[in-house]
Amino acid sequence: MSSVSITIIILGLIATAIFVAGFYRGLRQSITERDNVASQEAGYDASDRWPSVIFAVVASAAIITLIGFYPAAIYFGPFLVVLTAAANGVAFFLDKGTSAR
Amino acid sequence: MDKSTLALTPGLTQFQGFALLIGLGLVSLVIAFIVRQYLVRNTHDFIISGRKVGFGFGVGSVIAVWTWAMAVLMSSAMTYQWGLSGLFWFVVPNGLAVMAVIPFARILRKSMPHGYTISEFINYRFNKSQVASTIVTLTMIFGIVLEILINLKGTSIVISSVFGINWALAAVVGIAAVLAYSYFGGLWTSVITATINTLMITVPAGIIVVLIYDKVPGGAAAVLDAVGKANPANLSVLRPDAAAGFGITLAFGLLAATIADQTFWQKVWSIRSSEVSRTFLWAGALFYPIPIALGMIGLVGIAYGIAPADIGGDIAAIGPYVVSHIGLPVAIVLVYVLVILAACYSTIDGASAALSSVVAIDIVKRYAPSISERRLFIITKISTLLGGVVALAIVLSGADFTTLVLTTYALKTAVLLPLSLAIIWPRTNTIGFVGGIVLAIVFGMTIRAYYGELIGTLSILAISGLTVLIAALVFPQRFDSKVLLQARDLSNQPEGRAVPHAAHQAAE
Repeated sequence: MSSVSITIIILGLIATAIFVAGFYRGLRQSITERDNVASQEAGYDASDRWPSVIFAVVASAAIITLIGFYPAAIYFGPFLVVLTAAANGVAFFLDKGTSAR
Repeated sequence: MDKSTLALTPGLTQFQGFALLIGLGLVSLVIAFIVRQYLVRNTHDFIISGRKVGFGFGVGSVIAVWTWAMAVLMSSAMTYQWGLSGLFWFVVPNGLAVMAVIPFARILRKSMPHGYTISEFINYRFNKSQVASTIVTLTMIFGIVLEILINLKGTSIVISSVFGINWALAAVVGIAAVLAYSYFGGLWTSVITATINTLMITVPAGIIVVLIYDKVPGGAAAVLDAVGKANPANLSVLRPDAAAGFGITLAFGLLAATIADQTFWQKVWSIRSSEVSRTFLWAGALFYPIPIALGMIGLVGIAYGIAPADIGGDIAAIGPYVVSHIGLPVAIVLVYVLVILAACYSTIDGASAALSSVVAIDIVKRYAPSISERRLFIITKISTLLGGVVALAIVLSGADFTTLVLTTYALKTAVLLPLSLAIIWPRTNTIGFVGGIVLAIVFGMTIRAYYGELIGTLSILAISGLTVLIAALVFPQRFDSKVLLQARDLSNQPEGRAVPHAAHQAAE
């Protein structure tokens, strides 16, 4: 097994741990807030977030383009897809719910 | 790299295939029972999760719902067929389509805070126009059935090709597994199981791809070298034939697939209002790595010189073929199948939940506004099963579902601009909306039949959009978005009592 594979597997385990921790938090929060009427009226996000959207689109295009020039860029996808799981886990912790309001 | 060195991984059995199909369903069923006990008490919870889906579940569920089984397969297939240009045109519009929902979602979530479906919005937006709301309702239903159909078909193909299970039996077992757990918890079950499926898609996908490259002599450098030798254009993202061949058409199709899809609008109205924009941004951005990673399997297919004939003529099979023939252990092949099943199940249960909201709000409540909450809840739960049953019947009949694909494509593409304008432009009127859709279908689809997909798609968009604009100039009127505030939550009514529909409330 290559060092890249070992790295991705370790990162995958870490990402899974973050995800599971976040998932558990999110599930508890959802059950806690089941009867909280305030969570239905949690305010509105006024931003269309265009700068972030453009960045995400350009970044994805750039990564695919780079693959054609650098063999190592082939591993960007596997690395980032593991990061997706971790980021989803982090999203649970960034959810303020209604308790902070 | 010699394709003659590729051989099917020994040790794959039909029992493993059934175990994956049923096992994933059983785990989800346990989750559904827990969800039902703690989170679902009435129709409002069942179809819109009480509007309390948080950021984490929102991100995870949108990613999983957007990751179709065919998307897992097609990211490898498009790369295999067109090189990096194929991956570029498949990936870039895919994530953008999710993020493109943000401005529309932001407007509707604020102006119609108690909405459930996009057809319901159209009903209020165009003064209870039966024609307008029926067109959109039908578009949503066709789209949902097609989502289930395509994922069911894709899954049965993968299961039958990897494990040798009869494809029809695989379809029956697969749909039964999904519908069993979808029935019990509605959208909450869909959201929670889909979020788990996001984990099951992402981490295994990353590991499988690097393990595949470990099996290739020379690794990534050798693959890229062989891909370039096969055709130097494979390493460019600027192949014009890829853009014209499928890229531009796919881009518009994907936009229509999110903006004109109740599966996404149900999410918009179920996610906590303060988290909607952020959720779709994160989901779109975090979706990107999935097809990018899986696309790398397509490069291995090119490098080995695998011909379409070697994989049965269907390029969608390139991913499963490489994974099951490159020498990976049985366990890794099973994990890959689980990735596809997770993508399939999450999309089907999301579509089933969306169908339940359409049936409850746009059919039952509209035509039987005095129905009791108890009866509505029962009908809503049963409706969760309808899409799956219809899709299964079509798959088992062996019928060519090209007609359904074309009809859905025509409706969704024709609806895209009029619907977008209805949300953001107050001067959009009923004549323009209905006329735009009808004319786009009649003339746009005719043009498409004669001049191909690219010109046809652009024609449909141009006809539908221009009709809305011209109608707005000829019949000037301005919509007051305060009308949308008339929509009410079902849960505002006590359980067991007759619930007047919001439309009737407005009329009172």
